[in-house]
Amino acid sequence: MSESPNTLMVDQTEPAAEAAAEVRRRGPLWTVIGTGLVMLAVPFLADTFWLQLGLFAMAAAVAALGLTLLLGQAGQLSLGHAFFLAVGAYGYTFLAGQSGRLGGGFALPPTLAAVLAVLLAGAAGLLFSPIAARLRGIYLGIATLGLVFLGQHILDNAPRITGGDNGRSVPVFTLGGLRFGSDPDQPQYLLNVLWGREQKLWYLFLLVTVVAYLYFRNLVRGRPGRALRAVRDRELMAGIIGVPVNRYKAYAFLISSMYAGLGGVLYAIAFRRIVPETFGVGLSIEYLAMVVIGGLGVAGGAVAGATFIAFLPPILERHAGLLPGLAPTTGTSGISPPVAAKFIFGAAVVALLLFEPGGLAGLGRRVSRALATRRRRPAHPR
Amino acid sequence: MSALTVDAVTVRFAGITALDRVSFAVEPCSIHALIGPNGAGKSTLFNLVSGAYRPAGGSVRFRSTDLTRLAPHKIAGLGVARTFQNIALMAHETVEENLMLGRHHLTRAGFVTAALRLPPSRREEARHRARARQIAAFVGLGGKLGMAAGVLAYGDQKRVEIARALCVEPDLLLLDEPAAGMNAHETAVVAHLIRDIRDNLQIAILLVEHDMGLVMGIADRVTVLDFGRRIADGTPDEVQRDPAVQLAYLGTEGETGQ
Amino acid sequence: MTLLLQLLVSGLSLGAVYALLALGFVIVFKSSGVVNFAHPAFLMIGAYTIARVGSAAQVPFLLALLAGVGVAGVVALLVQRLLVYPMAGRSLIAVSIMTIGVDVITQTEIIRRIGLDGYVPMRDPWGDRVVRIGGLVLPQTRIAALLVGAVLILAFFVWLRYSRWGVAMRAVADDPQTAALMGVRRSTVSAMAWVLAGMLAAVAGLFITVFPSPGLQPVTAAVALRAFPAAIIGGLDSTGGAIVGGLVIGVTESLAQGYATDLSFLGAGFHSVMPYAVMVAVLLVRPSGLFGAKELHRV
Repeated sequence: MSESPNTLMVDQTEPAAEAAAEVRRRGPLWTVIGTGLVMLAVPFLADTFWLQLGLFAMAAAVAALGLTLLLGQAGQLSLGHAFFLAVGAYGYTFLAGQSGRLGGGFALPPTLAAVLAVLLAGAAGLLFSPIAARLRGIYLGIATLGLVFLGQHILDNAPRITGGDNGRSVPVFTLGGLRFGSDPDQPQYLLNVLWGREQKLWYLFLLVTVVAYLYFRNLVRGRPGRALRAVRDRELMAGIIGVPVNRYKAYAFLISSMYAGLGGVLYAIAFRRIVPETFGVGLSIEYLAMVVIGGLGVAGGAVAGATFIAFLPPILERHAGLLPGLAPTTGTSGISPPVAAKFIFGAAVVALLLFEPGGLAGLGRRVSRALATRRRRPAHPR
Repeated sequence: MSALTVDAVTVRFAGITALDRVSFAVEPCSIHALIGPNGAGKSTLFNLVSGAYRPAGGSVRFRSTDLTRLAPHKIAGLGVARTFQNIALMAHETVEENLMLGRHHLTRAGFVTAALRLPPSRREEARHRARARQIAAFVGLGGKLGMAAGVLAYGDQKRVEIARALCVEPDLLLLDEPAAGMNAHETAVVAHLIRDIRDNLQIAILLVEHDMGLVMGIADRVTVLDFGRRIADGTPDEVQRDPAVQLAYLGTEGETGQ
Repeated sequence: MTLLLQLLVSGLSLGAVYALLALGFVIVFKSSGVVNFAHPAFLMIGAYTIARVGSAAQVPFLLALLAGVGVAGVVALLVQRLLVYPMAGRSLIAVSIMTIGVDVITQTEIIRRIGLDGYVPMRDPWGDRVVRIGGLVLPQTRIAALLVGAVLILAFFVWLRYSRWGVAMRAVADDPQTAALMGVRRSTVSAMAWVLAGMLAAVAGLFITVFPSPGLQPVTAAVALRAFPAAIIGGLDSTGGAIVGGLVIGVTESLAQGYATDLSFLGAGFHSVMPYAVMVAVLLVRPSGLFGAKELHRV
């Protein structure tokens, strides 16, 4: 077949052989359990600043999973991810919000609002998917750019939804009787730790992220993932061998937009206040950077990339004094941390694509393979 | 009723008439070879039958169903499978995963059931994997299921192509140069396999090949194309003796020709 | 009536600028096979250089313009040689994402220098002055943009048709293997295409930053992004299409802005979404753009 494989990167998806071997090896199971225990203990160990950062990273990870599914598994470049994040964030805020002076709202129960917001994002993805299916790779990338501008335009002209330029506060999330907020008048304590909003949300976000992660992995290892990768690498062969290509492109777009919508809901809940200008082209590019830096097509890559991008600016900010060239405080000479963060992730994208297309996940695989080889082969006399 | 009826098909692109009113029929449980010099239109015909092209005229029928306006995946669903001249495997995936792609149209696990790993989808998966392994053994790939398809030897990759096509559970199998690049021994093995497919699996086979020894040895019928036109159609002996064919292609009588 | 004519002229002038941008974008795609998301960055670099060099004492504008064009061309060449060329053989999407990274780095730096709320004056010779033709009042900058754009576009197509390297570029875009066999080095042609793209982007950058709002601002980058829908509308692999796409974008944007009150139901500021709306509309009917080649599937 003269169609060359549209492989985005070399070795970017976990080869099924690897995956199968991994399943057989079962882990090391203790790493998984260990990480899980640490994750559960974090609210008792870290302060609110880091918890908040972690919430942001988890929200980003969920959205990033969607993009890495679309780009890494299905091979569709989308610059429109920010649009679906906005649908999720503003969907939740509007549906759960009270109608008032600053904006409208349906005052629905937050859980219902969250679910509807995700479905709304999915519906938007579904509406766009016939266009997405008709367009070749790069045409799609640029067409989705239009989605972001359309989204910004709508938000700019809908103060009832957005609450105007100053943004809008996001309703506190409740689940059944549980309220995921802090009450400064009646502080709660758990095991001597101040149990506020961030601590409660941590477990909710962790649960959602783990479910999103597992869903992704099962999808990728099963029949849908197989079909998507075939569409990505050998579209003509895929159709001839029995995969309904356009339908799967549409599915990929749908699932990806729902992930983004869910990420948007989480983002809104985590930040408590959202402004329209967050959801511009820059955000789409940030997500692209996340999935490339983390490693395309792999669940772990989405999480790693999201964590990297989320933690980078605050870490730079905290240690600005130590790093040469960075401005320790605003107004002093040097590069400000947010700007430095942008330089770093731009450079990381370029460097990774040139040299280590597998991203952080690829690096991780190399390291674990090297360790495994060392373990299996005791020193030979040379 | 013929397994495949190609009826006066014409295919044109970029000013070239690749196929000019070509007609022939492939009978069930037979091996039908399509031969002709390079550029004669053989691959075009395969792509046409698979649904990659639309003809400018004529029709293609699989049994009684008209294939000409169907999407490729629907054609596969009817029971038409093919291999590709240049290997079109998923190089980074295991042989077994490549075979399982062939089972796609026979399975149901989708974005809900597969992701949740519900019992019905797991049972389905197990069933179809067992069948894929069976087919792999039939084709001679038994021990190689766990290897990445890209690291296999060329001859084995061709076999994976055939096995994957068989996983589609076709009634019509299109083999695109199955013996290309093979030595005499490998070619004999492939010939044996193709005969096995016809005899044990009762599948109709349409075969494009340049290796005359293989073609004349196993084909029940042969159609010859030249410059997009059919110039001969009959048994291997009839075609071999046809002066038009000799003129276009075979050189002097008795040469196995390459 | 005068409003319509005014808007049309304005639109054509804007369209000529978009056309220059889209043209550079398309010739890079045709010669290198790369969708260069860093194209807006070339525009910003060119415009910034023109402004900075021009603001140095006693530097004539023409010299500043040449400096800007030169620097943009050199940067484009560096990107091609150091980043794109080593990625030869990689997939289109991989290289395109890499150019996004380049764009992030360059834009961040330029915007850092401009300052988030700042702007850099261009010190162009036209300023606020207007020309009166018929009943129309036209800013000199727009006339200049239209004339310069038309001349450059014409010059380019003449060069493409008749000059040795123009023919070489067409040959490489058409059939790289045969061109190589005939002695045309694809890498040289690619490099040339990138340099041209950078230079054209710098010229476009000048005209985008002198009207409607004078000065190079961070938001200029968003305007530069409209090269993409312009190129898509024409078809990514059609140089003629790029011109058509640019003009379409320019005219529709100008009309949308001019008749904004009549179009207020579409929302304030619709004219900035207009290019993308037109693009999606075109793609619905022609998924490969107006003049783009439909893909031939040779299996």
